[in-house]
Amino acid sequence: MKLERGPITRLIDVTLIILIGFLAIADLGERTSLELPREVNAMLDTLQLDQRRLTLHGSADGAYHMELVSASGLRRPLGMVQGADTLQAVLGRLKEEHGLGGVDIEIEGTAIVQYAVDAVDACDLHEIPREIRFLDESGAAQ
Amino acid sequence: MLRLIDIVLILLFGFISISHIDRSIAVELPQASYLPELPPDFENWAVVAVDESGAWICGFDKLVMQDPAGLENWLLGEKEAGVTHVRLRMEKTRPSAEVAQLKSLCEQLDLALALEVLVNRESVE
Repeated sequence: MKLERGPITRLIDVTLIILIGFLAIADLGERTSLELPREVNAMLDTLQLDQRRLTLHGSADGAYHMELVSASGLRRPLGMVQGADTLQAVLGRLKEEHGLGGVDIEIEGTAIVQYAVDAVDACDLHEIPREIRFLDESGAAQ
Repeated sequence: MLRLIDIVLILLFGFISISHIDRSIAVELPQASYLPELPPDFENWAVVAVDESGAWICGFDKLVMQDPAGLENWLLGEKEAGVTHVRLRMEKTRPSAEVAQLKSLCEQLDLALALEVLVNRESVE
């Protein structure tokens, strides 16, 4: 049995095809931006005396080397973690155990940008204040 | 009614012909799940993209800069046109030194810099 397709049906078909076409090419992903402020030492001034901070050094192989810094400046290496999920878990534990007041993130120039965003994301997950420095190829902070 | 379809199609082609459609840049942005949402301010932004090959692609005209001097000149022109912020769309596998390089340039020119990030809340749920 042959179905009759009236002009209205054809118009709806054309409209839907156009709509689907636009949807297919539209960039609908939600975006945000990671601000890279010029002054990166503002957070350290707000730390309370009994708070410790963590230095997180991201390297090219995706590893994050951690160092706990006390309010008096004493540094204690905590080893390294690999991968975003592990980093999130470790930061949560460190926040509970040491009451972290903040995290200084340093990213090596050869590390990919995603590693930097992973470190920031892990801090934001646990609501730990953070600052980020991108090191250039010579190792100088920007 | 067929005439109506003709008119709709003519309108469609009309819109396509006056649209600003040119080559798109394939940039896979870094992803995050917990970064706070920041409302975009499109008034005083200039966009700089870095694609997989590492080319600096500037503005909506997609000018490709071959060296830092060209990028600096372009940023200077944008600043003179009233731009105060630079939005960096960077391929997620590019080295962070390139962020440092642009940040240094922006600081010299007194421009604020932000890295664009794709939000992936689904991985949280």
